[in-house]
Amino acid sequence: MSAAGGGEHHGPVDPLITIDIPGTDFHLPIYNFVITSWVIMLILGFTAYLATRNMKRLPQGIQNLWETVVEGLFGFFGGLMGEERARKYGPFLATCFLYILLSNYSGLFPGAAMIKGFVPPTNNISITAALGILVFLSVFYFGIRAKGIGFFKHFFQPMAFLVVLNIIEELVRPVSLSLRLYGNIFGEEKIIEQLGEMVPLIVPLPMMALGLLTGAIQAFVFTILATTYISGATEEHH
Amino acid sequence: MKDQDKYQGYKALGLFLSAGMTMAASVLVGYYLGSWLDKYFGTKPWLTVIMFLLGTAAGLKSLYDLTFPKKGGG
Repeated sequence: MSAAGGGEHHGPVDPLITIDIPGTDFHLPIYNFVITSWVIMLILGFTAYLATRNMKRLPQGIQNLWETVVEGLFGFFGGLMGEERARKYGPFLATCFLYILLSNYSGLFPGAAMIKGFVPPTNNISITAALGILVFLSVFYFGIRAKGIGFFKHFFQPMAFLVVLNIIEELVRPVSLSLRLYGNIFGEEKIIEQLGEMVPLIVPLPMMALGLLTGAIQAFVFTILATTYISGATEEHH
Repeated sequence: MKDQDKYQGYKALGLFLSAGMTMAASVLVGYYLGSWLDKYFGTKPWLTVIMFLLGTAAGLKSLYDLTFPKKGGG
Protein backbone atom coordinates (compact mmCIF):
# COMPACT_ATOMS: atom_id res chain seq x y z
CA MET A 1 0.00 0.00 0.00
CA SER A 2 2.79 2.41 0.80
CA ALA A 3 4.36 4.02 -2.20
CA ALA A 4 7.52 4.91 -0.38
CA GLY A 5 9.03 1.41 -0.59
CA GLY A 6 12.63 1.06 -1.59
CA GLY A 7 12.06 -1.34 -4.49
CA GLU A 8 12.41 -0.31 -8.08
CA HIS A 9 8.73 -0.95 -8.88
CA HIS A 10 6.60 1.11 -6.60
CA GLY A 11 4.41 2.92 -9.05
CA PRO A 12 1.82 1.81 -11.56
CA VAL A 13 4.37 2.53 -14.28
CA ASP A 14 8.05 3.30 -14.30
CA PRO A 15 8.84 6.94 -13.76
CA LEU A 16 8.87 9.08 -16.87
CA ILE A 17 12.03 10.88 -15.85
CA THR A 18 14.26 10.65 -12.84
CA ILE A 19 15.93 13.74 -11.51
CA ASP A 20 19.16 13.25 -9.60
CA ILE A 21 19.57 15.62 -6.71
CA PRO A 22 23.15 16.86 -6.98
CA GLY A 23 25.45 16.02 -4.10
CA THR A 24 23.25 13.19 -2.73
CA ASP A 25 22.27 9.67 -3.68
CA PHE A 26 18.64 10.66 -3.76
CA HIS A 27 16.68 10.34 -7.00
CA LEU A 28 13.45 12.16 -7.55
CA PRO A 29 11.21 10.09 -9.84
CA ILE A 30 8.61 12.02 -11.82
CA TYR A 31 5.63 9.84 -12.69
CA ASN A 32 3.06 10.43 -15.38
CA PHE A 33 0.28 11.04 -12.92
CA VAL A 34 2.32 13.72 -11.21
CA ILE A 35 2.64 15.52 -14.52
CA THR A 36 -1.10 15.16 -15.13
CA SER A 37 -1.65 16.60 -11.70
CA TRP A 38 0.58 19.58 -12.50
CA VAL A 39 -1.28 20.16 -15.75
CA ILE A 40 -4.61 20.18 -13.86
CA MET A 41 -3.20 22.67 -11.35
CA LEU A 42 -1.96 24.84 -14.21
CA ILE A 43 -5.36 24.72 -15.94
CA LEU A 44 -7.16 25.68 -12.73
CA GLY A 45 -4.69 28.41 -11.84
CA PHE A 46 -4.39 29.87 -15.31
CA THR A 47 -8.13 29.98 -16.06
CA ALA A 48 -8.75 31.51 -12.63
CA TYR A 49 -6.11 34.13 -13.42
CA LEU A 50 -7.69 34.83 -16.82
CA ALA A 51 -11.13 35.12 -15.25
CA THR A 52 -10.10 37.58 -12.56
CA ARG A 53 -7.57 39.62 -14.53
CA ASN A 54 -10.03 41.95 -16.14
CA MET A 55 -13.30 41.60 -14.29
CA LYS A 56 -16.38 43.28 -15.68
CA ARG A 57 -19.65 44.14 -14.04
CA LEU A 58 -21.46 42.00 -16.59
CA PRO A 59 -19.48 38.76 -16.61
CA GLN A 60 -18.59 37.32 -19.97
CA GLY A 61 -16.88 34.20 -21.19
CA ILE A 62 -14.51 32.61 -18.75
CA GLN A 63 -15.37 35.03 -15.95
CA ASN A 64 -19.00 33.97 -16.32
CA LEU A 65 -18.08 30.28 -16.07
CA TRP A 66 -15.95 30.77 -12.96
CA GLU A 67 -18.55 32.95 -11.28
CA THR A 68 -21.19 30.29 -11.84
CA VAL A 69 -18.93 27.57 -10.44
CA VAL A 70 -17.78 29.55 -7.41
CA GLU A 71 -21.24 30.86 -6.60
CA GLY A 72 -22.74 27.39 -6.87
CA LEU A 73 -20.09 25.84 -4.64
CA PHE A 74 -20.23 28.61 -2.03
CA GLY A 75 -24.01 28.40 -1.96
CA PHE A 76 -23.70 24.69 -1.37
CA PHE A 77 -21.18 25.06 1.47
CA GLY A 78 -23.31 27.87 2.89
CA GLY A 79 -26.27 25.52 3.04
CA LEU A 80 -24.17 22.93 4.87
CA MET A 81 -22.34 25.05 7.45
CA GLY A 82 -23.66 28.58 7.33
CA GLU A 83 -22.81 31.58 5.19
CA GLU A 84 -20.04 32.93 7.37
CA ARG A 85 -18.03 29.74 7.70
CA ALA A 86 -18.56 28.95 4.03
CA ARG A 87 -16.73 32.20 3.19
CA LYS A 88 -13.91 31.22 5.54
CA TYR A 89 -13.38 27.59 4.59
CA GLY A 90 -14.99 27.58 1.13
CA PRO A 91 -11.80 28.33 -0.82
CA PHE A 92 -10.06 25.21 0.51
CA LEU A 93 -13.08 22.95 0.01
CA ALA A 94 -13.88 24.31 -3.46
CA THR A 95 -10.27 23.79 -4.52
CA CYS A 96 -10.43 20.18 -3.33
CA PHE A 97 -13.64 19.63 -5.25
CA LEU A 98 -12.45 21.16 -8.52
CA TYR A 99 -9.08 19.41 -8.38
CA ILE A 100 -10.62 16.00 -7.70
CA LEU A 101 -13.33 16.48 -10.32
CA LEU A 102 -10.82 17.44 -13.01
CA SER A 103 -8.51 14.60 -11.94
CA ASN A 104 -11.30 12.06 -12.18
CA TYR A 105 -12.34 13.34 -15.58
CA SER A 106 -8.82 13.59 -16.95
CA GLY A 107 -8.85 9.87 -17.70
CA LEU A 108 -11.89 10.24 -19.92
CA PHE A 109 -10.78 12.79 -22.43
CA PRO A 110 -10.64 11.41 -25.96
CA GLY A 111 -7.52 9.44 -26.72
CA ALA A 112 -6.43 9.19 -23.10
CA ALA A 113 -6.30 5.42 -23.29
CA MET A 114 -3.90 5.56 -26.23
CA ILE A 115 -1.16 7.16 -24.16
CA LYS A 116 0.68 4.46 -22.31
CA GLY A 117 0.77 4.93 -18.59
CA PHE A 118 -1.62 7.86 -18.69
CA VAL A 119 -3.85 7.64 -15.63
CA PRO A 120 -5.86 10.19 -13.69
CA PRO A 121 -3.92 11.39 -10.62
CA THR A 122 -6.69 10.14 -8.35
CA ASN A 123 -6.01 6.64 -9.70
CA ASN A 124 -2.95 6.58 -7.47
CA ILE A 125 -3.04 5.94 -3.73
CA SER A 126 -0.23 8.42 -3.05
CA ILE A 127 -2.19 11.34 -4.46
CA THR A 128 -5.44 10.45 -2.69
CA ALA A 129 -3.52 9.80 0.54
CA ALA A 130 -2.03 13.28 0.22
CA LEU A 131 -5.53 14.71 -0.20
CA GLY A 132 -6.78 12.76 2.81
CA ILE A 133 -3.89 13.93 4.99
CA LEU A 134 -4.46 17.50 3.81
CA VAL A 135 -8.06 17.32 5.01
CA PHE A 136 -6.95 15.67 8.27
CA LEU A 137 -4.43 18.43 9.01
CA SER A 138 -6.77 21.20 7.92
CA VAL A 139 -9.40 19.96 10.39
CA PHE A 140 -6.86 20.44 13.19
CA TYR A 141 -5.66 23.76 11.82
CA PHE A 142 -9.11 25.27 11.37
CA GLY A 143 -10.37 23.76 14.62
CA ILE A 144 -7.51 25.11 16.72
CA ARG A 145 -7.74 28.50 15.03
CA ALA A 146 -11.48 28.71 15.66
CA LYS A 147 -11.67 27.31 19.18
CA GLY A 148 -8.13 27.37 20.55
CA ILE A 149 -7.23 24.57 22.94
CA GLY A 150 -10.95 23.89 23.48
CA PHE A 151 -10.86 22.06 20.17
CA PHE A 152 -9.40 19.01 21.88
CA LYS A 153 -12.36 18.84 24.24
CA HIS A 154 -14.40 16.95 21.67
CA PHE A 155 -12.11 13.94 22.08
CA PHE A 156 -13.53 13.49 25.58
CA GLN A 157 -17.17 13.81 24.59
CA PRO A 158 -19.70 12.47 25.26
CA MET A 159 -17.79 10.47 27.91
CA ALA A 160 -14.14 10.57 28.88
CA PHE A 161 -13.51 6.84 28.49
CA LEU A 162 -14.44 7.06 24.80
CA VAL A 163 -11.21 8.92 24.12
CA VAL A 164 -9.54 5.90 22.46
CA LEU A 165 -12.50 5.36 20.16
CA ASN A 166 -12.56 9.07 19.30
CA ILE A 167 -8.86 9.04 18.44
CA ILE A 168 -9.28 5.96 16.23
CA GLU A 169 -12.27 7.62 14.59
CA GLU A 170 -10.14 10.68 13.86
CA LEU A 171 -7.33 8.55 12.42
CA VAL A 172 -9.75 6.58 10.25
CA ARG A 173 -10.90 9.69 8.41
CA PRO A 174 -7.89 10.23 6.12
CA VAL A 175 -7.62 6.47 5.51
CA SER A 176 -11.25 6.08 4.50
CA LEU A 177 -11.22 9.29 2.45
CA SER A 178 -8.18 8.25 0.45
CA LEU A 179 -9.13 4.58 0.05
CA ARG A 180 -12.64 5.45 -1.11
CA LEU A 181 -11.50 7.92 -3.74
CA TYR A 182 -8.65 5.72 -4.93
CA GLY A 183 -10.72 2.52 -4.98
CA ASN A 184 -13.59 3.94 -6.96
CA ILE A 185 -11.48 5.64 -9.59
CA PHE A 186 -9.04 2.74 -9.86
CA GLY A 187 -11.87 0.24 -10.30
CA GLU A 188 -13.61 2.31 -12.90
CA GLU A 189 -10.43 2.91 -14.89
CA LYS A 190 -9.53 -0.77 -14.70
CA ILE A 191 -12.89 -1.84 -16.10
CA ILE A 192 -12.63 0.64 -18.96
CA GLU A 193 -9.10 -0.54 -19.66
CA GLN A 194 -10.05 -4.22 -19.73
CA LEU A 195 -13.14 -3.62 -21.86
CA GLY A 196 -11.10 -1.49 -24.21
CA GLU A 197 -8.56 -4.27 -24.59
CA MET A 198 -11.27 -6.81 -25.49
CA VAL A 199 -13.43 -4.64 -27.72
CA PRO A 200 -11.82 -1.30 -28.44
CA LEU A 201 -14.85 0.18 -30.18
CA ILE A 202 -18.19 1.35 -28.74
CA VAL A 203 -18.36 -1.26 -25.95
CA PRO A 204 -16.44 0.76 -23.31
CA LEU A 205 -18.67 3.77 -23.98
CA PRO A 206 -21.47 2.99 -21.49
CA MET A 207 -18.81 2.32 -18.87
CA MET A 208 -17.22 5.68 -19.63
CA ALA A 209 -20.60 7.36 -19.25
CA LEU A 210 -20.85 5.70 -15.85
CA GLY A 211 -17.32 6.95 -15.23
CA LEU A 212 -18.59 10.50 -15.62
CA LEU A 213 -21.12 9.78 -12.89
CA THR A 214 -18.61 8.06 -10.59
CA GLY A 215 -16.11 10.87 -11.00
CA ALA A 216 -18.63 13.54 -10.04
CA ILE A 217 -20.07 11.52 -7.16
CA GLN A 218 -16.68 10.73 -5.67
CA ALA A 219 -15.51 14.35 -5.88
CA PHE A 220 -18.82 15.31 -4.29
CA VAL A 221 -18.61 12.73 -1.49
CA PHE A 222 -15.03 13.71 -0.68
CA THR A 223 -15.98 17.37 -0.46
CA ILE A 224 -19.10 16.72 1.64
CA LEU A 225 -17.10 14.66 4.10
CA ALA A 226 -14.38 17.31 4.31
CA THR A 227 -17.09 19.91 4.86
CA THR A 228 -18.67 17.84 7.62
CA TYR A 229 -15.32 17.30 9.36
CA ILE A 230 -14.36 20.97 9.18
CA SER A 231 -17.78 22.20 10.24
CA GLY A 232 -17.77 19.72 13.13
CA ALA A 233 -14.36 20.98 14.24
CA THR A 234 -15.20 24.68 14.04
CA GLU A 235 -18.78 24.92 15.25
CA GLU A 236 -19.48 26.95 18.36
CA HIS A 237 -21.53 25.48 21.18
CA HIS A 238 -23.91 28.00 22.63
CA MET B 1 -35.55 27.21 4.21
CA LYS B 2 -36.34 24.99 1.25
CA ASP B 3 -32.81 25.44 -0.06
CA GLN B 4 -31.43 24.44 3.31
CA ASP B 5 -33.44 21.22 3.22
CA LYS B 6 -32.16 20.41 -0.23
CA TYR B 7 -28.55 20.76 0.93
CA GLN B 8 -29.23 18.61 3.97
CA GLY B 9 -30.52 15.93 1.60
CA TYR B 10 -27.29 16.04 -0.42
CA LYS B 11 -25.29 15.89 2.77
CA ALA B 12 -27.17 12.82 3.97
CA LEU B 13 -26.60 11.17 0.59
CA GLY B 14 -22.87 11.81 0.80
CA LEU B 15 -22.64 10.56 4.37
CA PHE B 16 -24.52 7.36 3.67
CA LEU B 17 -22.46 6.66 0.56
CA SER B 18 -19.40 6.90 2.79
CA ALA B 19 -20.64 4.72 5.65
CA GLY B 20 -19.43 1.39 4.29
CA MET B 21 -15.88 2.49 3.66
CA THR B 22 -15.70 4.15 7.09
CA MET B 23 -16.69 0.88 8.75
CA ALA B 24 -14.08 -1.11 6.83
CA ALA B 25 -11.34 1.46 7.33
CA SER B 26 -11.98 1.57 11.10
CA VAL B 27 -11.29 -2.15 11.44
CA LEU B 28 -8.22 -1.80 9.22
CA VAL B 29 -6.79 1.14 11.14
CA GLY B 30 -7.43 -0.60 14.47
CA TYR B 31 -5.65 -3.73 13.32
CA TYR B 32 -2.60 -1.98 11.87
CA LEU B 33 -2.32 0.38 14.83
CA GLY B 34 -2.40 -2.65 17.14
CA SER B 35 0.22 -4.59 15.25
CA TRP B 36 2.47 -1.53 15.12
CA LEU B 37 2.11 -1.03 18.88
CA ASP B 38 2.79 -4.73 19.40
CA LYS B 39 6.03 -4.46 17.48
CA TYR B 40 6.95 -1.37 19.47
CA PHE B 41 6.26 -2.85 22.91
CA GLY B 42 6.93 -6.49 22.03
CA THR B 43 3.60 -7.71 23.36
CA LYS B 44 2.46 -9.80 20.42
CA PRO B 45 -0.51 -10.59 19.94
CA TRP B 46 -2.40 -8.81 22.71
CA LEU B 47 -2.46 -5.21 21.56
CA THR B 48 -3.36 -6.33 18.04
CA VAL B 49 -6.43 -8.12 19.34
CA ILE B 50 -7.43 -5.25 21.63
CA MET B 51 -6.94 -2.55 19.00
CA PHE B 52 -8.74 -4.67 16.41
CA LEU B 53 -11.77 -4.85 18.69
CA LEU B 54 -11.49 -1.15 19.53
CA GLY B 55 -11.29 -0.34 15.83
CA THR B 56 -14.46 -2.31 15.22
CA ALA B 57 -16.08 -0.45 18.11
CA ALA B 58 -14.95 2.87 16.65
CA GLY B 59 -16.54 1.91 13.34
CA LEU B 60 -19.80 1.10 15.08
CA LYS B 61 -19.62 4.36 17.02
CA SER B 62 -19.13 6.37 13.86
CA LEU B 63 -22.18 4.64 12.36
CA TYR B 64 -24.09 5.51 15.51
CA ASP B 65 -22.99 9.15 15.30
CA LEU B 66 -24.08 9.18 11.68
CA THR B 67 -27.54 7.88 12.48
CA PHE B 68 -28.14 9.95 15.62
CA PRO B 69 -26.24 13.21 15.14
CA LYS B 70 -25.45 15.34 18.15
CA LYS B 71 -27.81 18.21 18.94
CA GLY B 72 -27.10 21.10 16.61
CA GLY B 73 -24.31 19.10 15.03
CA GLY B 74 -23.15 20.08 11.56
